[in-house]
Amino acid sequence: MNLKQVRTKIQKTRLFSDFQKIELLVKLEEASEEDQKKLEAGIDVFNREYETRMAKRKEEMQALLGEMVEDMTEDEARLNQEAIAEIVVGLNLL
Amino acid sequence: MQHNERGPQQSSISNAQPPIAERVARVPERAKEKSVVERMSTTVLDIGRDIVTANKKAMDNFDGKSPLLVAAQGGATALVGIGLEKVLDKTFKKGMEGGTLYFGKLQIDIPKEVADQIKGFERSHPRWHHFILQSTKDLLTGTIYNGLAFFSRPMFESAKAEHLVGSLAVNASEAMFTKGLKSVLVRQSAVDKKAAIQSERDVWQNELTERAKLRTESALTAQANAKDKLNDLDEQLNKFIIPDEEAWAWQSFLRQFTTFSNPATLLGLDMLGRSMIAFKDNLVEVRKTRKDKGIVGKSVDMEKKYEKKEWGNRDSGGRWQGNKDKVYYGKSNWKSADQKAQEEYELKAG
Repeated sequence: MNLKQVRTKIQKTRLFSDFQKIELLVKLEEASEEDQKKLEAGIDVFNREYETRMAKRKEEMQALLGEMVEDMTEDEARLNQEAIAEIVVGLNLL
Repeated sequence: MQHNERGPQQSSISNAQPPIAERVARVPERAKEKSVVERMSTTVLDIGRDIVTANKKAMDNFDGKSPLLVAAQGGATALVGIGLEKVLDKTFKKGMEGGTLYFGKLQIDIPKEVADQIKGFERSHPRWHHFILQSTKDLLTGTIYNGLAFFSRPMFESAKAEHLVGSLAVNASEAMFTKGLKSVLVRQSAVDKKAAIQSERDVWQNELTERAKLRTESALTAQANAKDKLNDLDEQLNKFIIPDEEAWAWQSFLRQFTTFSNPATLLGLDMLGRSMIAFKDNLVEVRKTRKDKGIVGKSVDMEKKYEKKEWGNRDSGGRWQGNKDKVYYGKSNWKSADQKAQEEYELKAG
């Protein structure tokens, strides 16, 4: 069992809060190999699911945003300027 | 932030994107029946559901009662976290106004200028403000988790500095990434402002379609820039210096790296959700204004063909020669000053 690898996965995943990550990192070394494997498997499943689903949703959102921007009137575009920029940043944060 | 995991997604941004029309065509047919805002709102909700589903699938693997798996399930963390949060909430709010937070032997100074800066965010960027407060509190709670004798005993007897530092290092990269995105946002805003001024000048020349395309390209460029920024930050992370225990001053360390923190997913989702609310509010406002001013008595969705035919033509140089007698409000929602033409259309449209 590569502990370093599991540690890295804990730190990088979006599955846990910061608080939970600290807790997991502390308890990891004392845990049985079986539990460590379960944890790693869970993180892997989450990462796969999350990335696949988010990639799809991002694509959908970008398409819809493009459609919306294209159809916007001048005054609507002005008012929604900030919201559009936030969507772009928000999508990158996911 | 997941540098490795996000890599393939981010890199796809820099590759040639399929045309907008092609991507629009991929949106499910049933969804096209709704307005764009409605469809976007649905997608945002779907994002929330997807995250929950991904969480549940992971949780299926955490079946067990060992301390590690219980921590992964999050139940104990939530309970302790909620308890601590309630205890700390009042103190935390006071501290965030500038002052010293005392947690047993631990003491954290928040200078007045930092507090003012955070307070400033409350007015200018309420979402960032909320994010700063929540993420800082989350990390503070984590920090004192082991420092306090909770239920008369330390929670983590074996907790070492590197556990916290390791986690915070990732958060620090997240913070830098988020700050990087913020600068993208600022630049984007400047570009949009410039584009808006330009739009004003062009409003009589019916070049909205071209400008919309430019704006879309601008949004995609911002994403590509964000990807470049992410790569830069990845490099920075590799050079990231973790302070040793002796030099570990919590005050400066926390202040330096926890301005923004890990719940980036929630922030992203929050930004999308609130943007949807903004869209709805703004669209309602625009339509109300039109109605109040009598610009549009009845909402008319004009066909593109009709609009081009009636409103003007391009000259040999490709420049739009519009009829200034007609007031143009948008490609799909405009009212002609020529009431007769309008009435005729309405009659045709039934």
